[in-house]
Amino acid sequence: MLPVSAGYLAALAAPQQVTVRADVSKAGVRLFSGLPVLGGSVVVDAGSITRRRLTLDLAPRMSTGTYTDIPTLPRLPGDPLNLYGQEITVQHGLTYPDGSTEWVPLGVFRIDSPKGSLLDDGPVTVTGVSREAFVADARFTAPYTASSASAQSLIGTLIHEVLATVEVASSASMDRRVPRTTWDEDRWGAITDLADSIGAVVYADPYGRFVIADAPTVDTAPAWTVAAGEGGVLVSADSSATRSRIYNAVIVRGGSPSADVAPVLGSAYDLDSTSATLWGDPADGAFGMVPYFMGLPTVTDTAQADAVAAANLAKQIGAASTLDLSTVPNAALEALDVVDVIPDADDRAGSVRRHVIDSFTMPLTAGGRFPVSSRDLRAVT
Amino acid sequence: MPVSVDGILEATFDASTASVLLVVVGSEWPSPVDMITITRTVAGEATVPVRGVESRVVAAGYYVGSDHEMALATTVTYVVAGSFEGSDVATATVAESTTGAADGLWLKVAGAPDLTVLARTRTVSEVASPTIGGVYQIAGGGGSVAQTSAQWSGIESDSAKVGLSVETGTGVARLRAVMAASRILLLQPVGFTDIDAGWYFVGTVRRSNPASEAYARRWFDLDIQRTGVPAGQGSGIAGVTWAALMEECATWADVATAYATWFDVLRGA
Repeated sequence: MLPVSAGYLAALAAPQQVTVRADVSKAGVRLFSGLPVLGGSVVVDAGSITRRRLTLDLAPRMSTGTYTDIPTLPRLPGDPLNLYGQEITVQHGLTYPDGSTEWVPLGVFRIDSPKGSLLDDGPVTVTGVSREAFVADARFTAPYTASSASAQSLIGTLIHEVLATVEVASSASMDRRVPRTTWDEDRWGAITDLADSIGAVVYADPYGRFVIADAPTVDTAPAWTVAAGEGGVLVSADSSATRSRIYNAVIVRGGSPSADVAPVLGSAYDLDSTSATLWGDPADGAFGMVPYFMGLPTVTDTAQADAVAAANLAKQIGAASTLDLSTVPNAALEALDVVDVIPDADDRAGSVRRHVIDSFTMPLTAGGRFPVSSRDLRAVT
Repeated sequence: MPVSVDGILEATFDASTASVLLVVVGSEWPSPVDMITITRTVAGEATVPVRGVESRVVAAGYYVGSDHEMALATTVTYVVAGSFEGSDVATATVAESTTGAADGLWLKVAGAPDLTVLARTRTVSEVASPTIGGVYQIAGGGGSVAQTSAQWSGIESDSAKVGLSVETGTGVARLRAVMAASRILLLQPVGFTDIDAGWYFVGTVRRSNPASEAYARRWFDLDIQRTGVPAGQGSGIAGVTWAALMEECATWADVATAYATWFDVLRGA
C-alpha cells in the first residue's frame, strides 16, 4: 500500500469526490501539464512484466492558452504524446470536505501507442506501460556473464545499465552472493531469476522508482480491510477454486557451485496435517502429490534453495482459492498487497479471509468499477 | 463614448451588434508602441485577453476592432497595455456598460463579430446536467458510497434544446451562415434566463417551416451542450465591411474625401 494519510482509507468508506491529473514529460522536461482526461484505466498486475498499464482517453485537442490549442494526437516526434520516450505521470486525487485534495500516484507510464482521428473529431486513446518495459526491451546483445557479492546490487546494475539515473530502492530482507552466471538475451528474465533467488520481487512503483521488495508471505501484515456492512467498502466478492493451479510442493533446481559438484536442489512440501492441500496419498486423506519446479542457476547452496522453495510454496498453494472482488476504488492499493476480506458483516472474525492482491483495474472516471483479483494466502509449514 | 483619461483607449458598446468597438488611438501613447494587449474584466470573473489582441503587433500604436465575446448587461472594464521592443510603455483603462441589446438569443462565432445574429427564442427545453460519478452499493447492508468528480463541480455540462425563430430570407441566411461557420457558439440570452450565457456545442440543427411557404418566419431547433471557450484567433469590426463602405462611397475618391485615414474608415469616424 502506498503511504497515505491516516484519514485516507476511512474516507474511502464515505461519499467522496475524486480527481485525475495527468502530465507528460520527456527526459525530465515537462512537455504538457493537465492533459484533458476523459477517462481510461490503470491496470495493475503482479503477474505482468510491466506491473502497471495505462489506457488514457483524451479530448482531441489540448488547450495551451485562452484562445489557443494543439491537437492531442501527435504529428511530430517531439509532440507531447508521441512514443519516443515521452512518459505520462498520472495521479488520483481524493478531495476532502474542507476542499483539500490528497494526491496518490497511479504510475509513470512510457507511451507505447497513441491512437485517434487525424480530423480531431473523436477522443485520442493513449496506452502506456510502467518503466519495467524500458529494461525488458533492452535485451542483452551478447551473452551476459556476471557475478556479484549481492543479488540486490546486481539487480540494480542490470537496471542502471538501461536507466542510469532511475532510483532503485530495496526493502528486501534477504540477499545472496551471485556466482558467475551467464544469461543469453533476456535482461528482465535475469532480474527475475535474481529476485526469485532471494524471495523478492522487482517492479517499478507508481513514483517511477524500481523497488526490490520481499514477496508477500503469511506473515505480511494486511494493508487494507475490505469489509461488507456498515463502514465497509466491499461491493461484491466472487470466489472460485480449481485444482489446476495448485501445487503442494516446490522443487528448486539451482546452479552447480563447481564443475565436479552436482547442481543444488531445494524443496518445500505442504506437510501440515491440517492442510487441505497436504502432500501425500489421497487414500490417506491427503491432496495428492503435485510438485512445481523452478530452475534458478543463481542459487548455489541447499539452504538457499530450500528458502526459495518455501517462499514460493505459499504462492502455489494460495492459487487454490481466488477471490474476484469489487470495491470502492483505492488508488493507494498495490499489487501483492495483503488484504483482509470480510464478506460477512455479522461474523467478521469467522468470515475473514487473508488474500494477496494479484491484479486490479483502477478506473480514471468517478464511479467506475474497481475489480480486484486476489488469491488465498496460506500458511506453510 | 467612454474614453480612458489619457485618451488612448475608446470603448463603445453597439447594441445593434451586441459588441464593443475598441479603438486604440496611437497618437495618444506617450512614446512609440509596436505591440498591444487588451484585456477584459467583468466583476466576479477572471480577467482574460480579448481574442485577437492577446499580443498584437500594431502600426504606430493604432488599433480598431470589436470585442463581441464580452458579457451583456453589465459593466466591462478594458485595459490596453502598450509596449515597444519588449519594454512596457503605458496602460490605459476604460469601462463601458453593455446594457441595451435587444431581447432574444444572440448567437456569436468566435473571432467573427460580423456573423453575430439575433434570434427570437420559441422554446427552451429542460436543461439537463447529469452527475459525473456513481454509487457503490456496499454488500451486507452497508448502505452506499457515492463518488463524484471534483472536477467541473462534479457534473457534466448543461445540455438542452433551444427552439429559435428568425425572419425568412436575411434572418435564415444569417443563421445558416453562423451554423456553417462553426458549431461552437457563444449564446447570450437577453430578456430570459432559462439558459446561461456561455459557449455551447451545437450537436444538431433542425430547420423547419411550421406553416406555409409564405410564412414570414422559419424555425430552427438546436441541440446544445455547454463547452469551454474555443481556441482560434481572429478579430474583426462588427458592422464595418467592404460592402458597407461601397454602399456609402461610390468611388475611391469619395472614400478619400470622407475619411482622412484608413484608421478613420475602420473606426467609422
